[in-house]
Amino acid sequence: MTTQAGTWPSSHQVGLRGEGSKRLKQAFGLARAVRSYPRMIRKGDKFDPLDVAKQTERMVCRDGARKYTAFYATGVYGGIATGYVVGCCLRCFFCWTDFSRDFPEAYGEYYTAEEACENIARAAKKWRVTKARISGGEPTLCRKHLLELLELIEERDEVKLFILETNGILFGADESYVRDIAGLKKVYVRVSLKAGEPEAFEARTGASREFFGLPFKAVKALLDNNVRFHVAAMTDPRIMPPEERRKLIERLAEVDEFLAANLEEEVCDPYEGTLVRMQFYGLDPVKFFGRKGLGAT
Amino acid sequence: MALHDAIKALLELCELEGEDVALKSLCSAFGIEVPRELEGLEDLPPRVALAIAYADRKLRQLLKEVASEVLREKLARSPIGKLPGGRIE
Repeated sequence: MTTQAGTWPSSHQVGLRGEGSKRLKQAFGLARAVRSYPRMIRKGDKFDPLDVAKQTERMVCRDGARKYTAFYATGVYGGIATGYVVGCCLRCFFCWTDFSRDFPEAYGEYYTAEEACENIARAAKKWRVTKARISGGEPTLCRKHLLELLELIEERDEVKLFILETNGILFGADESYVRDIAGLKKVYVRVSLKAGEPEAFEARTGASREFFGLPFKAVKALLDNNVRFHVAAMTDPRIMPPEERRKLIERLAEVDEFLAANLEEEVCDPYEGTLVRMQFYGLDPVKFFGRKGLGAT
Repeated sequence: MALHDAIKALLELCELEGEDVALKSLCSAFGIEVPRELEGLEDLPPRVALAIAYADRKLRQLLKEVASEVLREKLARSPIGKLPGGRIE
């Protein structure tokens, strides 16, 4: 990220020693971390998504618990119970989620895996759905929490299928994570690709182009470990040029032709968070979506 | 309808609606019988049902063959059609 932390006074300069000095250093360190944490991106911003994953985990994971903002059911997938988690390691300018992605320290409450499982199962029962997921943020952050939650879901009669929606960064970075979920009977994964070329990946997500291959590595790892999954991609033609779409599909087909044929192609919708992020990025949402697309008459 | 043709039709219909309706509803809307091989998956979204079927070793080869055909067509066209607004530069 291009944001700079600025210059902070040393403890010596402000005249503190011992315990006071230590606390002040910690406070300055925290303030520096808060200021340098990538939030919404502008064109040209870039960061290490694995580093951002770690930074985000420090804000949203605590002793096996994870921050959630809500538990509910919604109509997607024909009806699905949802736990809305806080925090992500990418900063896509077209992202639909609320502002908890950008300000994870300010949103949500911590839930243990048991509490999250109970709330998800309760939502499934209340709305008479048998599918569940965690959505909003990136579910694979807080590995311990996710694995405990998935183990608990295995035992719940209310949930028959758990859809794990991921950007594939952490699965791609560590195949052992994929192996950890491979034996779980209710788990189904949806990997969402953001780009078909490294430069476009960096421009759209803020994550440096050298990490472009990680979601594809995740796809390969899921396939190799016989996990049930499909791939989605933000191929909206207003965002992704046709040639890049072709490259993405061909790259996916090199891994497996069925995955490419069954690719879910995503369209960008004008959610509140999307509009703000687009504007911050330097795009005019009215031009992007058109007045008609924004619901104007 | 032969299984090959039914799977091909389903993969193509997924381009219209693959995530938010149940397989049985999509099949019913387009007058396709849910293939016997996909029994037990009727209540899942079609794309999810097909992906789960693909994890089944018995169906994998057939799905691969159908995928090759569908893929050629998929690459040849724009997926979404005309959207309001315009492409970013």
